[in-house]
Order: sequence, then structure tokens, then C-alpha cells
Amino acid sequence: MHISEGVLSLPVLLTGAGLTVIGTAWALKKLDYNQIPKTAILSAVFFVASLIHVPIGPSNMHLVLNGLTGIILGPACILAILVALFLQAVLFQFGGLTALGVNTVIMAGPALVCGLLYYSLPVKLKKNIFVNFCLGALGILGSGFLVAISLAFSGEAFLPAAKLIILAHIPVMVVEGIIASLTVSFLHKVRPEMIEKR
Amino acid sequence: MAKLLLTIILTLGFISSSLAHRVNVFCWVEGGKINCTGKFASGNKAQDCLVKILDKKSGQVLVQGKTNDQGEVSIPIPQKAIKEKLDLEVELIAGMGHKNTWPIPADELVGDEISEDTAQTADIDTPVESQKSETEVQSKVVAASNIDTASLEKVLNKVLDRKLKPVMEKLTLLQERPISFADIFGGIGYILGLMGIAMYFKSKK
Repeated sequence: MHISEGVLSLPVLLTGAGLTVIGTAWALKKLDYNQIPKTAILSAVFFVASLIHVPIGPSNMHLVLNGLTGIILGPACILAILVALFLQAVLFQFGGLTALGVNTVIMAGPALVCGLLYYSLPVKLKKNIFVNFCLGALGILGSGFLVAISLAFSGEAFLPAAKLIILAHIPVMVVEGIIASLTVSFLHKVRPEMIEKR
Repeated sequence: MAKLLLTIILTLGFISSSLAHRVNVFCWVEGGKINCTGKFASGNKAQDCLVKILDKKSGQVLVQGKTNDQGEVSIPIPQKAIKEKLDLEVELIAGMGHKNTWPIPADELVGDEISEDTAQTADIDTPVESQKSETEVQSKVVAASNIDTASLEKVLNKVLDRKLKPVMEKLTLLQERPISFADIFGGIGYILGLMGIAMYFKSKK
């Protein structure tokens, strides 16, 4: 779901970059010392996750794990995702530097929503497998939606693009939901402090 | 200061390498047509993708087509491009934000205007037959002596284009560097380094 350079119109690129700068400043302010290693680990996970390809029919999709990143990191997910996307653009030629801002919004926006939703839940629901499955899937759904919106503002028709992108990502949503619910329930058992408070 | 310069140079190097994308397009001009193939970095063919041929200067779309099941398309060279000697750019749009371009300079189009009979002479030479038949064609052409140097050059150009096509295609694919372990570990290293920097600055407070 990385958008390449030269696809989006200038206003979309600038809006994305602006939102990313604001989000990054906010997340840096909120970041406390103890959260830094956790953020780095999740950034590394996000960075590598896109190399894991899940073959689905004729095409293949890669993992994104933005929902899970949001659940574990909260606001710091913006930093983790920005760094990982930058390195993916520079080292793997995924997306591109001019599209970095937009791509960060596309990935980190839904991640942040997942994180905020998760932290607003009562403890009982935080451990619920189904809830975490939905949050994991929501990350991808939100990203697909944002990709469609950015393409729509750059001249592509919104509805067909959104339909295509979201339909194509349903399998990834399922896989990510499963990974998120397994990871969160595992963390509740072994390292509850990692996901119970921000 | 030297360190700063080095960092800037390295960063610039990265920026230029990051201009490459995940979908590859390769085009060649043959028999009055522009042929293109599109492939994703994973090796899958880019099927049913929109291919636009643009005037590089004005960005105006001259013609467009769609790739078939094999990820290939061949589009007749627009007359306007030949007449006005336009530099063209082929744009392959693979949807969901994937796109790549391939430049076709004007002189590649001009070199393809071959008169009917010389074109036929060149067509006898199949790509499978190697240099031997190529030299045969050349000697025939020379022996015929009624063909002047200009048309000989055209025949040679045509033969060379065809011979070089697979080489060019491979070169294009080689330029698209596959992801190596060095990239992956390098990236993780960067993240750890950033973590160190962040912890250093936060710990001073």
C-alpha cells in the first residue's frame, strides 16, 4: 500500500507532509524515556514486516502490522512508522521520499486510531481476542480507505479505487487481525506492563 | 565538516536510488510500434494496466493502451511524435499507487523508419540465428551494392536493436536492485542508532 512518487498531486503531498510534521512533533513531545526502546523494536518490526509476502491468488500481499504497532505504542506509533517508512523508501525503494508524508499519514493515522481505541477500552475488553482481531484488521481497512482518498484527490475516481483496494486487502485484514489478537494475548500473559499503559 | 559533507553526499545518493519503484516497465521500438512490458519486482506480470505515451516536454498524452495477460502492449508510434521529433515518455500505471516510466528519445523513433524492402531483408534474420546470419545479411547487402551506406546503416540499426533488446531488458531488471540482507540489517541498524540518539537526548533532561 505504498504510494509511489509522481502519482499524487501536489496538494495531497503537501497535506500529507504537513500532517506528518505535526503528528511527529506531537508524538516526540509525548514520548517518554521508557518508551523509546519499545518504539524502536516496533519500528524494526514494521520495517521488516513488509518483506513478508502472503501469497493470495494471483497476487501477493505483504504484512503491514500498523494496527498492532498502534495498539502497543499509542501516539509513539507515528515515530516508529515514520522511521520505518523512511528506511523502506531509502533501502527498498518502496514508496518514495516525496510521498513519505502521505504514506506516513496512510499508515500511522489508522494505527493511532487503533491505539487510542485500545487504550480507551476497559481492561476486560483489552484482553478480548475478538476485539484485538478487529483492531488489527481496522488498521488495514483505515489505510486502504486513506489510500483511496489520496488517489481520489489526485484525480482517480474514489469509489472504484476504494472498492478495489479494500477488496484486495481483505485477506491481509484477516491475517493482521489474527496476528494482532495472538500478539496482544501473548503480551498480556508474559509482559502485561507493555500494553496496559502507554 | 568532512563528516557533514559525507553525510550529505550519502543522503543524495540515497535519494536518487529511491526514485526507482516497485513496478518495472521496459519498452523498445520495432516496426513502427512501441512495445512495452510491465513487471512487478516480485516477477508477476503487470496485467491490464494503463500505458500512456506522453510528450516528455509538455506532458501531453499522445496515445494510450492497456497491457494484455502477458503484461505486454504494443502501440503504433503516434505520427505527431515522428513529425515533430518529440522525446517520448511511456508511463505504466499499475493501480493502487504503483507507477513507472520509461523514456524514448526522438532519435530512437527516427531510426525505425525503414523502407519496405530493406525491412524485409532484415526480417529474414531471426533472433535465434546468431552473428553468422547477421554477417550474411551484411555481406548480401554489400554485395547488392545498389544499397547506399545510409540504408545499410538503417538495416544495421534494426538488427542491432533486435539483438540488444534482451540485453537491455536484462539491464533494466538488474538496475532494479533486489532487497538484500545488507539492506534489512542496515535498516535495523539505523533504527537502533536512532533509538540511541533519542535515549541520549531524553536522558539528559
